[in-house]
Amino acid sequence: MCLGIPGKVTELYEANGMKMGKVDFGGVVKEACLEYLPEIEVGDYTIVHVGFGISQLDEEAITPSSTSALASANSTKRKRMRR
Amino acid sequence: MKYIDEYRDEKVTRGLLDEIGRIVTREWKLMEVCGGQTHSILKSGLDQLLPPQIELIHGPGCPVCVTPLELIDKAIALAQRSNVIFVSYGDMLRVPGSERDLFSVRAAGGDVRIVYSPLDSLKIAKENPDKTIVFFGIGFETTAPANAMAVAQAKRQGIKNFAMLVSHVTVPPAISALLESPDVRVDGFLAAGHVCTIMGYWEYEPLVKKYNVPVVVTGFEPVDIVHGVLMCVKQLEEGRAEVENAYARSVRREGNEPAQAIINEVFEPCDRPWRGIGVIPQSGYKFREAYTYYDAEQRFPDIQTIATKESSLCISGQVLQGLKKPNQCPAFGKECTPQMPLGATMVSSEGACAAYYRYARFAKTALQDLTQKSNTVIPSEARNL
Ligand code: SF4
Repeated sequence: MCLGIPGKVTELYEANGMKMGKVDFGGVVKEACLEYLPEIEVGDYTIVHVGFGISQLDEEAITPSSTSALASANSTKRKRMRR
Repeated sequence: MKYIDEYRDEKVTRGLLDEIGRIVTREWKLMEVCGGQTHSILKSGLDQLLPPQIELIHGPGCPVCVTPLELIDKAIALAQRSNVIFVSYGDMLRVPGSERDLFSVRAAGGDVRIVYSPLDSLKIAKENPDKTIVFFGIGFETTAPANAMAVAQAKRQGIKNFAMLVSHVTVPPAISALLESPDVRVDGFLAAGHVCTIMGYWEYEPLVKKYNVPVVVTGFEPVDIVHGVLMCVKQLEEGRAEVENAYARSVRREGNEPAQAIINEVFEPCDRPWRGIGVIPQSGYKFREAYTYYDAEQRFPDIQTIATKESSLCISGQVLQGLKKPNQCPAFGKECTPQMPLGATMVSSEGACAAYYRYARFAKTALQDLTQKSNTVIPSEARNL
């Protein structure tokens, strides 16, 4: 039930007074309500749950107890991002 | 796919597992609260890959599983009415009621529809002005803002032929109840990442102080889960009890405030019964006065008196409280299978019994799943959203 999938916002528009958008999940594009993410813009990533964006993913977030293994995950992430 | 692949990386997972192995000196029982985490743990075989001192106990975090039988029976009664279109998340259809499930109502001609978003039920309402659309509003805090928005939109758009059967539950009161129970021994909690995405994690701070038990906000991919376990074990080994966040890319301490605001506009806290567990004080949401027009139980008062019948074999209440593992249930895989379920925990996509049935025998080769790349998985997952 609490399943949420990260996707990239590709389009923003308004419907019935709500902020809506198209979100791309690796090729599958779905409509989502983004009313709870006032700052989200095209190109940002969100987690979508039952058709609603619930968070704007933070690229820079590094957890407080970053471990060596995790640091390497983060550096892989950085490399991917630069491409 | 970004935000998935790097968190399913086998090397990183192994590195974190090794680190746990290096620091652990004694046995610890950790409860993962969310059923989505339970499935991820069994799918990737983490329960078997963690050092033997770490036991993962599966928590009550499956809204489908804890929806009271009485509500399922009410849903079934409503779905059978010719003037009702019953709309639900797909997960609820196979959950056994006293006599039957929603699927069998549909097979017998009832108009039961599955939607991707609760907003879709408003479209159905507009297209069918001569019917009442009843939406099955279940879920934890993660789903509550979406369901609340559907109700708020119905009001704003003047949609009158829409009602919601509400069975919303909330996590922190359930954790308190588990900690108060003399039978449950849990050394640390992995809190549910998407519940905390909405609500933040400040609510756990007084709990951690009161019960001196670590809580680590944890995500759903293998790297996330092992990272959560590592942070929790570190605290335990160092004799600390704090709230920490191992899912910082999605969760902030204060949570998602606009989403909390819509929950508070439409719902207010109430006591809720949890299937198999019993009433937990202030552990759910009901409609606020201003929105009771949309309450299906008030719109259809004659569904109130239905006698329920629970399977005498099913021990899902003990499974949901972490007192028993699903394979300790005498009916597991015998009288009870996903095809012929006795309890909701065997059919829900987050139910622990379903996870044990689906993955337990593949446990040895589970590491293959761990490295499965998202481009083959995500589109189908996204379709089921
Ligand atoms: S295996 Fe079936 S009967 Fe046993 S607890 Fe799980 S759902 Fe209930």
